[in-house]
Amino acid sequence: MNSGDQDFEQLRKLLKVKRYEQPPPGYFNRFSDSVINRLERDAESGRAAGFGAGWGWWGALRRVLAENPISAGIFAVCGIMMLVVGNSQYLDKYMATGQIAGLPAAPSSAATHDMAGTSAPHGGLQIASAPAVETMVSSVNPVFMNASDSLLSSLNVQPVSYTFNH
Amino acid sequence: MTDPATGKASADSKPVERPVEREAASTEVPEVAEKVLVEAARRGDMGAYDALIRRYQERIYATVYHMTSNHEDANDLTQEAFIKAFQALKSFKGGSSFYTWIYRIAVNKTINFLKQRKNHAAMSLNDLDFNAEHDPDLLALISDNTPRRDLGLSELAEKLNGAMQKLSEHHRLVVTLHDVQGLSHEEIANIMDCNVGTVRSRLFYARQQLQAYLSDYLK
Repeated sequence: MNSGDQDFEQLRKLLKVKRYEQPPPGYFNRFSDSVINRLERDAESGRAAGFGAGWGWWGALRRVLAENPISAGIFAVCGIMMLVVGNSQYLDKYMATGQIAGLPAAPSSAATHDMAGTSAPHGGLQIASAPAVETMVSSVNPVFMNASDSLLSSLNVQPVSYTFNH
Repeated sequence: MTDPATGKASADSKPVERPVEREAASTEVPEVAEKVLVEAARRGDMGAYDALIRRYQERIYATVYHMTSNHEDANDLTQEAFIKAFQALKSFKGGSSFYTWIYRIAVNKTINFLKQRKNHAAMSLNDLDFNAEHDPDLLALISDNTPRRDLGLSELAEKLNGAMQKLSEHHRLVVTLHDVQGLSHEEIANIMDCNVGTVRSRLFYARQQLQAYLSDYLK
């Protein structure tokens, strides 16, 4: 025992109390069975779920993500970024062709014009529809709205000035 | 039941039944036996892994319990440590003993758990073993003419655990491993993956802190 230990002799005696704190009787007789049962259950459920749920790379990935929130966050961000990049390319293609592969063609601009304007039910609000887009549009070739296309243009607003007479 | 000082199983533990375990038990060099068990467990022999669990469960549980002061948490964390060790057994290179390795897994799991639990610590202390009442050192601590005179052993244990919980995780771990479980500075350094000097300084600081917290109960 060195001098450091002697300085804390009383404390060391007090700490001996902790050696006598014991779990419920019989606990250690059952403990290893619980662990082995859990391992066997995990292996069973892995086999039952087939590929990806057991001890393979997918199972390992799931364990890493479950145990490490930072990894899980990075994984989620990467997933979202891949989704965004994939979708932006897909949308560019859609905007360029005006059509989604495998779906019926988008309504023509003429039909759209008709629905928005002349065929409005009950003579309701006549919405000035946008002209048909003839040029190629995409995220790198944006479309700017003209002032004459806005709703305000149909109201015929005139500038007003006021003077005060004394 | 266990020997509190060593944490080793005594005669009433469940008898060993599986072949690899019997083979390992009969050998006289424990290090070799551990390697045999680890190799067998690595090949998927659950009997061998069962033997490894039985060999170290009490020491691992005790460490985790003294860190958490909660039986349920200690039970969960000890189980998870053994499960993780089994799943990672293929990556165990044998650079250190299985004993150090499983300790390291349990300690890391416990420290992570305690960091998450920081704001809602709850103690549910285990009962004191009957033999505590016959320990001369402990009897002296609750003898007459001291400020702790009216304290029973259970209350003393509760005060001590309260003080332990005030230490940081690393300081609590060093005190637990050295002063409660009797590990050497070198073993602790291996488990905590730091140098012996760090272990010594942490131990000194932790004892100082404990002594200050428990000054009313120490002569």
